[in-house]
Amino acid sequence: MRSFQRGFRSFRRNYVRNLIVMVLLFVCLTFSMSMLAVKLAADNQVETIKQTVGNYGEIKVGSDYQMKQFQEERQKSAAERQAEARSMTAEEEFANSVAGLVPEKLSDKFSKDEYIRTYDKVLETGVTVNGLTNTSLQQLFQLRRNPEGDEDGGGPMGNLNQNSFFFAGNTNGASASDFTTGAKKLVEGKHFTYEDYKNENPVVIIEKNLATDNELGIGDTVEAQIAGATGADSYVELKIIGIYETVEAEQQSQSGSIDTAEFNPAGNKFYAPLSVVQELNATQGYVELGSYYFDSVDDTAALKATFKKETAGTGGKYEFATDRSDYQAIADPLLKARNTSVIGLAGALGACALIILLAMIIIVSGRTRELGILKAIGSTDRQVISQFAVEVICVCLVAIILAMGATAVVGQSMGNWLLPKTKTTTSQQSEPQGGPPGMRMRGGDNLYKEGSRFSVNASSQKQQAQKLNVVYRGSLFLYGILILVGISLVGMAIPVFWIIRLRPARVLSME
Amino acid sequence: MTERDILSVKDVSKTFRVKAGDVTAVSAASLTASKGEVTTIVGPSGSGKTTLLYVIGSLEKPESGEIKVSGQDILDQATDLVRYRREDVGFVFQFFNLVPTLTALENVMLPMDLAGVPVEEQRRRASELLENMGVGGRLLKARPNKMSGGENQRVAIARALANDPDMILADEPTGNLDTATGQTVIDILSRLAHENGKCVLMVTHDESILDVSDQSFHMSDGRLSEIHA
Repeated sequence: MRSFQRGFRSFRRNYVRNLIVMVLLFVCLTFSMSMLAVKLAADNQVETIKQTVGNYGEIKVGSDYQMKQFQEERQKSAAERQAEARSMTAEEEFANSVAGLVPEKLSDKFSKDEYIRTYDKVLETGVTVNGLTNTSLQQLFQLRRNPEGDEDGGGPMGNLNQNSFFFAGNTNGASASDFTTGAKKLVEGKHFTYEDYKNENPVVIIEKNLATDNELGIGDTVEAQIAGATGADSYVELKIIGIYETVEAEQQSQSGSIDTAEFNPAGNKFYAPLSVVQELNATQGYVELGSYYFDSVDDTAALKATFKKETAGTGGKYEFATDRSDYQAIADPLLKARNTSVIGLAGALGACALIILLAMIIIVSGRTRELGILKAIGSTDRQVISQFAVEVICVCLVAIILAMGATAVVGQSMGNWLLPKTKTTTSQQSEPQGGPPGMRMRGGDNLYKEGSRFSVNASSQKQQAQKLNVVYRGSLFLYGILILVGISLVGMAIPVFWIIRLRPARVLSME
Repeated sequence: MTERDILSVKDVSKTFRVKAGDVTAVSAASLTASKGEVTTIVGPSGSGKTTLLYVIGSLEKPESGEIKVSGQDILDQATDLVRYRREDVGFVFQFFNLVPTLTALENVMLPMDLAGVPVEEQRRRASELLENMGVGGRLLKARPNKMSGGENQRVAIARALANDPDMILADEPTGNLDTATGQTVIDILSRLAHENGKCVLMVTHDESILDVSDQSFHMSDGRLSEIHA
């Protein structure tokens, strides 16, 4: 206690040199603490991002494989293709129709991986619904008419006709990506459930405008045709259990930037249990993709290894696509800022250590006579060391308290300064490939979790990541104490060495 | 050695190793000093007087010999030299060696503080000692740089007496003072021996001090010889 008092008194009485050291330390410590605050903030934000982005993957037929198939088909003439189709057995025909799909077994097996948190299976396809007209397809067919007005190009395209609608099937209506991203909102009725999927209940959710135009309501039924089937059993009666509205289209329409009629054709998408869509598409046991949420982006490598193992022997037909690039787009600037801040922190702490070390060398060498006097009049080494320790701690404590205060002021600016300047990007999803407007076909790098092509979810996440929120947190205070202890110990190294080795007789005789 | 003898130095030698070779600062020095007496060692600069004083004060360690203070061998490994310096001896230096950031009062309180004396007792005793030395009033709160050489030396003597040691070791106590002030300091030290019963051991090159000495030694080239009246 007395050493503390003597040290504190000495700290006050030697205020000029202590003040110089404190100012130097304050500058370096403010920089250190700001760098630390930036690092902690970046770490925290990256962890938060990991909760929502980078933890999604889906198994689907690879785009390279699809392109290869497409090229092969293109090389065949129409006559060859027709001849091939005519000579196909039923098994070959089925194999052909599921060529672009993923076996449900593979999807289920992968879902058992330890990192998988939730999973879903999805099949999206065009289905003919009797008595209902797809207005956008109708418009498209009208556009394809030649100027003379003949009907050459106005007929059906492939399997599509004016009664074709886009059916999205999954295992639980509420977890369909359009609903989870907020692009669509259920306004009446209810979602279909996992039980509906398991029991193959013929239920469906339709769009509000379509329902209004066709005077359809909850409990009414529509008749959908099974692909390739004929006769009395070729139709499935679907009961309407829910009505949704398209939220994003309305928002965009209000902003006036996009023509809703063109980009959001009303009422052309149906949501039904996967098992029902599989039946309508005549592809039971196959899905378009398996959709998975796992713990974190850090598990991606392990999951890819599992996927590789489970798809060995398929010739690279399937791919495991993740939203890692989305994660990187959001997190990379933060990680870069964090890495820079770590380098800055190390440098600034090094400078702090150097300052306190040099300062103490200067201070102690200027006070060797005082040390000699203290030893000559009966101070133990411990008493002298304690006194100097208190002085050093006081210097560092004042500097770090001031630095913590300054960090609260300049921390955010440091964060802004360190964050790489990136252009404000909006996630512009590519145009659907191989389908007419309103009949979106999955392709390219689009992921199911991003929802429909009107989704703005990913872009808003990217914009969030462009700001680093450097907030003052408790851990910063704890790190501050650790830094205080660290630099105090460094600062004490010289006095301790000096005090122990000092021989009072050497200094007391000097003038 | 009589009953009043407090210090006994026998055949003490001290050699310093320097680049040019070994330098013998003290060679087989022997002396005894008693309470109530002023013992003076005179000699030219560099003769080894200060080294002998520091050896007696345990600030230097001799190569050989025996030093007993109040019957205790201070060269014995078991001796607590810190306690010895704190309680058994008091130093007065040529250049005062006061702590510059402390006031006169605090400088005198310092040895008592190190010895664990309660603060109030420290203050009372330090004030009393300084008053006795003629350093009172506003000077109590003055720092060394605000006081004259004589005042500083009187503060230094008060500090040496703080823990009431039996022996005062004074190294050229007048060396940095004018004649009149030096005489005052000599008078104080003489009084401490003759009136307060302290053993005062002084080293100096000022032979006029021999007048107040009860016992005198001459030192030359590290060799000590008694000067008989």
